[in-house]
Amino acid sequence: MTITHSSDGLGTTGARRGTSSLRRLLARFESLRGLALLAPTLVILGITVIVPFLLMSAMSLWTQIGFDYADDWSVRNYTTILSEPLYTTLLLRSLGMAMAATLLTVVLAYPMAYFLAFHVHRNKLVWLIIITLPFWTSYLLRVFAWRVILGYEGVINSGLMEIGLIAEPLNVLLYSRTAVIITLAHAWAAFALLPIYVSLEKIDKSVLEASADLGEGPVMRFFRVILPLSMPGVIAGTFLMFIPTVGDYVTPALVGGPNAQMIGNLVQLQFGTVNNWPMGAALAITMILSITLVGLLFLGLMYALRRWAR
Amino acid sequence: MSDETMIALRNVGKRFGTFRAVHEASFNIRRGEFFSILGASGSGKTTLLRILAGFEAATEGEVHIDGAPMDAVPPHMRPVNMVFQNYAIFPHLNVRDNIGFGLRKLKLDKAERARRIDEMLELIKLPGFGDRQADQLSGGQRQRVALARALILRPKVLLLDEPLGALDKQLREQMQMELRALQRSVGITFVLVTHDQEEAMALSDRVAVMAEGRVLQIDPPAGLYERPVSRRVASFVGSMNFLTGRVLSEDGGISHIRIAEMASARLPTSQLAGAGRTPCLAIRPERIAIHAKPPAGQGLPGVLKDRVYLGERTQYLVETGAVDAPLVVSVPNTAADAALQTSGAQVWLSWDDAALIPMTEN
Repeated sequence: MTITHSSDGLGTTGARRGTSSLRRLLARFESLRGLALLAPTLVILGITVIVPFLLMSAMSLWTQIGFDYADDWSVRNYTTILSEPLYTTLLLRSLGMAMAATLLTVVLAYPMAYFLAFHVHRNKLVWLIIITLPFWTSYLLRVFAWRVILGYEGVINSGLMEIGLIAEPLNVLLYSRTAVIITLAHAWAAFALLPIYVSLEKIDKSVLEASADLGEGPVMRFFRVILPLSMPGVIAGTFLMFIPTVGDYVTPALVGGPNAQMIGNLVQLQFGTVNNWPMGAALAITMILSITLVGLLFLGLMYALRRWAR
Repeated sequence: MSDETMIALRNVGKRFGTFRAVHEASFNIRRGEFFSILGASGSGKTTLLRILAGFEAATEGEVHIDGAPMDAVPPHMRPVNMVFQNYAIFPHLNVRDNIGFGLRKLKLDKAERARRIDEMLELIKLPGFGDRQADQLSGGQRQRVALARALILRPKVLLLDEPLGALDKQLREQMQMELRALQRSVGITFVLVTHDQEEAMALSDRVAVMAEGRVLQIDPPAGLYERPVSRRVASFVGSMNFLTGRVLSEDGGISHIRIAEMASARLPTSQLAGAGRTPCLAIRPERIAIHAKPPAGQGLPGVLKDRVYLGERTQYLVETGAVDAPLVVSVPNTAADAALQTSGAQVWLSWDDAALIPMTEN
């Protein structure tokens, strides 16, 4: 075999050789191909997430003095956050409320996903569309809808008064932590439901039959086979729900009232009215770190549970 | 019901809507027997197996296992275990935990549990594989794990749904031998579902042939091969030639049947019962002799169409005019005749009348 040279003489040989060697390189190294697929996203992530994150981290080490910044780097903002009960309370409350909303959603979404995966045989798409229908409206509208439902003259109060269960409207419904948790649970439900549904749908039905065949009744089948096999979906759903809800500020602002404000509201205040950007940045970073910590603890717990369940 | 019987089916039927997947199945499976259900896909064989396992409820009839009625017994309470077609290995568990899955209910202590699992790993020739994850196993290994997982519970009946279907030919043949040896050593009743007639023949004490939801015949492999009751069974088990005869006369319990010009047969009239005046006569390819010169007795003349060399034997296709399809003749290669090498040659076929199997058209 002989090597034929490009005969067009227009200098395209180099370019052609370039693409072919790139192609050869891609063919040889699978990881490189993966990176090539990731590249566009990585660029966008770099510009929109990593750079701002670094800027925020840097800014959190500044100190606001009046309208100016102190000209040294310090962790003063962080020591303030850790020593001031207001901040820690708000942070812990946010984590707690997000956990409650996440738990509520996962517990409620799981049976729904289960039903969809194992009992709907036809028109699954229609069911999926119906379940995600609330997501076709804007997040803000969904939160407002809950104001209408939970409000002083809202659906629940007027309904309960109509059937004579209460004489005058309850004012504990709206502007409470419960209201925030309910609203968050509803507003983010699909984020928990869909990954759980996918992981349940993926389970080979014959594995369920095998566990029945090997002597396990419905309850133990669930705990020994279905739950462990759907755990990736549960974990993904939990994270998808928990991470954004910790920092949510729209819902607590609209249905929360003074006792149900979350860390997001405080961050918003720092960047807005209070005009203390370094403090806002430090709060945001603290929030991210605590979410990471809780996430790692959760993963550790899941790992331990899995080992124990064997 | 005798002590001999492990499984008894009485008029068992299964309908899916208007479709009858299983139609009036009534038979017994003996204790310790290796029983196969042979059929093409869609014949209802898997449905029947799933009825035994409890995954499908029979819409008609009764199933008894070891004397106990099974109609209200869910799968997890039945004294049977199953090897699934795709093995259904638990993907989240390693080999040991897969094999030991069913032991939870026995409440064994740790040492006894480990001992039993080790015993099974030994039996399926996979010692040292206990810590492997399910996805690190080959097809044959998965099949063994599925087998061990079922056998460790010492079921009264082991159900096998096409257990060797996913394996390549060599491994399949090796596993057939092992399965047979295993069944003999554990003494458990095996019920195997397969579409592979060679597998059914090689493994089983008895075979039930199913088609379109009906059990057509139940016999030991030799009986099935040599005395198929219908054309359907005959064409399913091995290859078969079908001739059409016409009864000319009857004399002293012997019927004289004309098959074609130059070919007739004498068969006991009792064998022709129910086959009518124009019985279908089946004959196996290896029971026909092929000659390059006219044989001494009667010979059916024909033209050699094709010749296929199959190693230990050669298959000839002969156009005779007696039937539409060419007749298949199979001759061991020790006796292969050099004169039969060329296609288009004139040949003569002959057979022993006892090799003809009269049957109904269906």
